[in-house]
Amino acid sequence: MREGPLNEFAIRAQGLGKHYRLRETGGVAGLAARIGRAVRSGRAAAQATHFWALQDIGFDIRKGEVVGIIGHNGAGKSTLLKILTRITNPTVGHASVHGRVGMLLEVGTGFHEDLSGRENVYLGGAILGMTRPEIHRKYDDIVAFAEMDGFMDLSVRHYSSGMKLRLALSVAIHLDAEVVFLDEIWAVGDHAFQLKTWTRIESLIASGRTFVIVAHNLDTIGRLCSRCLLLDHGRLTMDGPPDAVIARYRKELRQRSQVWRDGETTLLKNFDIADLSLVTESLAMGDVLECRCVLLAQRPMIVKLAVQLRDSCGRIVAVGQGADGCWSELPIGVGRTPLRCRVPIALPQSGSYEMLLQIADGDAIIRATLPFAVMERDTLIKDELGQDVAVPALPLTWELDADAQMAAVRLVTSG
Amino acid sequence: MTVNSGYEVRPTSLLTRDFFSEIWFFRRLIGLFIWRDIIVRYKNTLIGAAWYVLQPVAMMLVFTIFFGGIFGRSIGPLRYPVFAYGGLLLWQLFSRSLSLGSQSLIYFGPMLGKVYFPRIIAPASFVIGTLFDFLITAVLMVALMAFYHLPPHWSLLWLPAILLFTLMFSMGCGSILAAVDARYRDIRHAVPLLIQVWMFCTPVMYPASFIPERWRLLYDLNPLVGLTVAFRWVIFQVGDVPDWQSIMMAATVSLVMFVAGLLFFQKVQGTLVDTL
Repeated sequence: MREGPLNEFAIRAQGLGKHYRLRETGGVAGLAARIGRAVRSGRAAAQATHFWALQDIGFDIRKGEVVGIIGHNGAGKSTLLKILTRITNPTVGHASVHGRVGMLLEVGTGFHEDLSGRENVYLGGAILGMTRPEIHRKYDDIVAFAEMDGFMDLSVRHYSSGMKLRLALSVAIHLDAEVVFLDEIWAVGDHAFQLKTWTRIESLIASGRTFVIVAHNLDTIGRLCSRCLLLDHGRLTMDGPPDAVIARYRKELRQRSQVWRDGETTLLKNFDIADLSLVTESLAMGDVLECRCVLLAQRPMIVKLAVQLRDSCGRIVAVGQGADGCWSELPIGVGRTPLRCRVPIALPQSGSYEMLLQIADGDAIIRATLPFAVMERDTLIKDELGQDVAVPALPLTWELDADAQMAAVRLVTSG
Repeated sequence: MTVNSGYEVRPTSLLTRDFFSEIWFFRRLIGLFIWRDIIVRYKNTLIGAAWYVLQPVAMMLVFTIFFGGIFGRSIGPLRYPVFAYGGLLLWQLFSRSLSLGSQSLIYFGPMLGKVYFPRIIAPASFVIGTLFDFLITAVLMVALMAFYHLPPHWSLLWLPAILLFTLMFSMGCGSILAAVDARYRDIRHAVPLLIQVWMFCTPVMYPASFIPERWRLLYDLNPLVGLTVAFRWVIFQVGDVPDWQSIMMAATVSLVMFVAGLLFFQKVQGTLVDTL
């Protein structure tokens, strides 16, 4: 499969940078600004907001290496992947990729609702760079892997979203690539299929393919990768063994809990957050997330508190419920008031999340985010049809029921 | 380095060495996209392909009713409905390919952000795909010619060249408009207007001889003038005789626009997804 010795390079990147100029949105105001800029182009260009999504990224990846890219949201992970896959060009720098490239960035690319599953397999495969005979040869495998036998002549319009996803992922995974770019696609859809896909990816890794993986799940990265790159605000801050890079990233996560203060400053003088932390940033499904917070108040007052849990894409996945909708009220006295909040974790998926804490008093509001990770604790079982289903593994503790045993003993002796 | 064994990533540059080999590698994609669009377009319609005949037929009737009397005598022995339909046939090919080409990135937008293929495939597949509609509308042309007893002539062999230059011109204009539209959405509103005005500057409903001689050079700058006159001539062999000046002008302008369009598109294609 692989040509050349192991020390050959699969990817070489040098000084990669991506620059964006943020511009106004559409509408009359945007149009006016655009016309204005066109008229006095020189001056206005200087006023536009510049922003480097990536800066001075350089690394060499040898064939067979499995490299994970980690970093906080907006660190540039996806931009880097988009540059390496040629979806967008870098502003500066140069990279070369050697070998047939496959990408699993986002599945369902090119699927058309009005075409049948079969037609879509051919179209989707071609878009990924497969030749017709190649798709033809792998067609049965693709259908079998997707568990879609018997549905292939049906229009994709009538598929469930899970079916579409399985088929698309199956096409992508059957591309015989030497270098594979992987974004966290498995974070969606049916869990059993995700695990099956993982098994397949792991076997590809074992067969010596080069992988570049962007994942939010640090467990995955730690388990699969032989090397890790850490991005921070568009810069490559660390490149090394996964354990060391992940440890540093976790440390940074802890320091990164952010606090914003909005509203009138005079009002804000009334109260503030003096200290804020999570007891543990890494927990399993079913555990309780414990947040500690110290409020500092100038006078006795009633503060309103709300909690939201967001996933790595910023979507709200759960909200705390209080007395007044999502708000809870709490009277606090002058000086330091330590607070504790316990959030039971019932989330659909493992992965990285953040907790958004909002503390309000009238118009003044303080927002703070605290990142945390939910570890994988799922297991595969067979359902009644013999198909794999992933279910959460609940941590159990069994012990002898001493009271009942005593009662039973009493019953025996007295009877 | 062949496409299937890797690639280079660089800041936007003009034509690279890999440009043609890459398009060759992805050539099947053009065919697949055309095939997809044809299937999808007719799948959920009642009368399907008939829509594409209906449009020029309706225009032909309108033209005949309103302009048949005015231009009927100045087009030689040809009957006005056939004359108009001949012009509309090529005009439809041009206007559809221009408007679809300029909208191609809007339709392909979501896909371009997720997967790589040479971006020029988006406008190219839309532009080339309009040949299919052309073939359908051409069937009625054959019927009309039989009805009016107009025998085909050997000069029809020039037809592929005329179609090629028409599509090259709309491909050039279409890819420029599509690329600019990715940045400034005004284009999508301007194109329908542009096409409307353009039709009046093209001898679709009137003969080219209607234009006074002193305006002729300016008029010929529109390659559709030479192409439409030539198109009618190779089909009917009557009416305006194409002169070499307008033919050469049309061929040159089409070719220049085609090359300019490709170069411009190539220049911006690498960062198109950033603004789409």
